[in-house]
Amino acid sequence: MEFKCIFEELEKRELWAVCYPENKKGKRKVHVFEHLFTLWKDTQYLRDYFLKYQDYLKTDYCNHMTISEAIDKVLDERNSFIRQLYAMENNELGQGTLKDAFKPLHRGIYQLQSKNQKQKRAATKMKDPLLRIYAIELSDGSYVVTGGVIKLTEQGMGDEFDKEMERINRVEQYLKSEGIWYKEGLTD
Amino acid sequence: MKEKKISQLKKARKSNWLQKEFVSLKDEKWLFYSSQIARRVLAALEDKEGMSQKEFAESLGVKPQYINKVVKGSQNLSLKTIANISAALNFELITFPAYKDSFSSYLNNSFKYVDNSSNIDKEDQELSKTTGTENVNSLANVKFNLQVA
Repeated sequence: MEFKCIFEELEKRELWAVCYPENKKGKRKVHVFEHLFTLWKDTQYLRDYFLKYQDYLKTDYCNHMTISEAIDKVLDERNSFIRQLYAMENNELGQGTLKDAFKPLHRGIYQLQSKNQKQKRAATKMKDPLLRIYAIELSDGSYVVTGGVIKLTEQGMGDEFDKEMERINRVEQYLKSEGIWYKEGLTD
Repeated sequence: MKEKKISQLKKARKSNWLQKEFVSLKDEKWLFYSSQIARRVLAALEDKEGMSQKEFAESLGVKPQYINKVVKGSQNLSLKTIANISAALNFELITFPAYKDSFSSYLNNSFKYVDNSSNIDKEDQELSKTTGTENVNSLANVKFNLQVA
């Protein structure tokens, strides 16, 4: 398993992304951020995804968004994440730290939440973010991003959530085997 | 086992992905336009009894990879290409705001938007000292209309 450092904070905490062997661009392995953020700007992928799950869009949670509105919301959120991460890397005032950006979910698993307000096109339709990025926290306060989903229900969709949890376990096991401690591991 | 840092792993490297992505945000507006076109092309192809992208590429005389980029929303399309795709799909991909057929109608309409000197740039302010306010307002109005027309 390979890892790529996205950036390092002033306090020496780092943001890392996993490179899964199955995610490749030609012969080059791509890390999970690049993989997800490429999908999240691919109109064909997004349209197919929302066509497949269009019943979820018709719920109160998604505020009855159309497929086109949902695509716009993903594009906006993805770009906001990039702005937010870039601002954090460059220590821009008021952007907070990695610790502020990652909200604990459960069992040592964290979610990157967007605080950038430049989500303009579809933001009024559905309040909750569509994009969720998963990470685990290491003992030194660094984060390793393991995956992400487009979240169309409050709880997250069963299959996709299970797949993400499986990936998190896979990364945790690898880190453990390499002698790298993560927060969950420390509390065991 | 002694605790290690992730950066000490053999296969841990720095990435410049974030910098590249941030720079690419300067194209956010055209990427949004491209996405708008892409979703309409996809919908139109489905309406054409599920015409495949390969068949569509052949009908346009382009490579399938090109159409693949179009429907991903990652192709910077020229107006000529948009027109060709529109013709092939028999579907207008872009529309235009109503055209006002006289230049003076732009000028007249612009007065309600222009708040005295707030839209006048430095150069025009300099000009106002020598030529008087009326001319400067006209210049400012022309500029504003050219931007919104």
